[in-house]
Amino acid sequence: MKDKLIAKCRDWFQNGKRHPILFVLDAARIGMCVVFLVALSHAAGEFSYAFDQGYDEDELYYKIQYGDYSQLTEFVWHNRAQGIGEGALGDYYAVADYYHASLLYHLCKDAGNEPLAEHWSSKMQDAAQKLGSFAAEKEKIDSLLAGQKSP
Amino acid sequence: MQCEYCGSPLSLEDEVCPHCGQPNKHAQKHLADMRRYQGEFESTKRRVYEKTDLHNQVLVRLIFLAVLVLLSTGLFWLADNVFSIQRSLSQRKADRAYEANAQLLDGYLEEGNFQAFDAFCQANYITSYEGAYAAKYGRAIRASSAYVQLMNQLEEDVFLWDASEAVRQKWLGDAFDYFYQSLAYEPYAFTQETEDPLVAQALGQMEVNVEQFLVSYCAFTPEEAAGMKDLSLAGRAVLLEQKLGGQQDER
Repeated sequence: MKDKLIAKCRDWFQNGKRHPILFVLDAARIGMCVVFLVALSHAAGEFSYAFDQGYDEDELYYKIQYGDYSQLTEFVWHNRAQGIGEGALGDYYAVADYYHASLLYHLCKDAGNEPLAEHWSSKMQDAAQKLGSFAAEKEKIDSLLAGQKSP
Repeated sequence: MQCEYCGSPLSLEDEVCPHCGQPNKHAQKHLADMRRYQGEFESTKRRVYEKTDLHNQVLVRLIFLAVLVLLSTGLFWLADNVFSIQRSLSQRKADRAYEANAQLLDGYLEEGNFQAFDAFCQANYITSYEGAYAAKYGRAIRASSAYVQLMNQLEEDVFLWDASEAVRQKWLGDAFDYFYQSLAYEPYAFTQETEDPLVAQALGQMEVNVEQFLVSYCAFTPEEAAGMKDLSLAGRAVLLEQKLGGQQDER
């Protein structure tokens, strides 16, 4: 098979009876094939970027590890808005929910808005129950939000 | 015809006389002519076939090239417009589900979950200047985006980074500016934006949250926090440097 192909290519190059225009058109075909492949990969890249798949587990884990809870919350709400349910990421979502609810609880409580503070307090408790493997984050968040308060 | 040697009858196909064996010059000439005509015919036929074959090969290659050019152009056009297409599809989907989405958005605004509100609007390309949502939620859409940026910046600066860095304070100043500008925008007339009480309440809540954060975590007094809205860019920058820079030193 390989020998046949090589012989065919040799004949193709050495065949003196081929009209020059065929060489030009063949070169143009090869060039356009390359252009087409480039266009295909470019379109595929743009499509995968446009149809956002949300933030994955690694990105969420990195935010928790680094203690960047505010961005974690942003990522989680972005995922939810994209329709990416909790599923395997339930623990990560719970950390974001706990932080978000805690912060709003403290702000509402300090501002004297008791009804809203109670609302966020119950959200805190709901999220705390779902922390799973990230149960230790509760204390970190509590000490962060309570401990950083101005005297 | 007759043989010129023995007079026997001959045909044009007889190269030699069958009776005397002498050559038939007429037949030889005829056969030579016929061979020549045959050769010319074959040669012409071959040239016609070659030319047709060449035209066919050229045509096939041209068609192949044209198809590749069209496909490549189409793919490049698609790649350039994929965001517009995706945005248009998302907006149409959001418009079709307006009733359900409006309930969800109202819920977010009532409980003060502006992060969720902003994320939902961004994911569905719900904007303050077009579409079914602009009339009711225009101001909330503008303000929530600025609010989320500001709060994220504040939280990172206070809880995570070194807030005394000049560049971070500049970003924070810009975020405050953007937030207060978004609150000050009048409703857009071209979208027939209305003054919705829930939206007005939400904007108030955003302001309260920001001010309370400054008081609770940035050592602002309530008066200083409330006064941030009326300060100039430079004034805010000075106050932020005093409060956040000093706080960092204490830590």
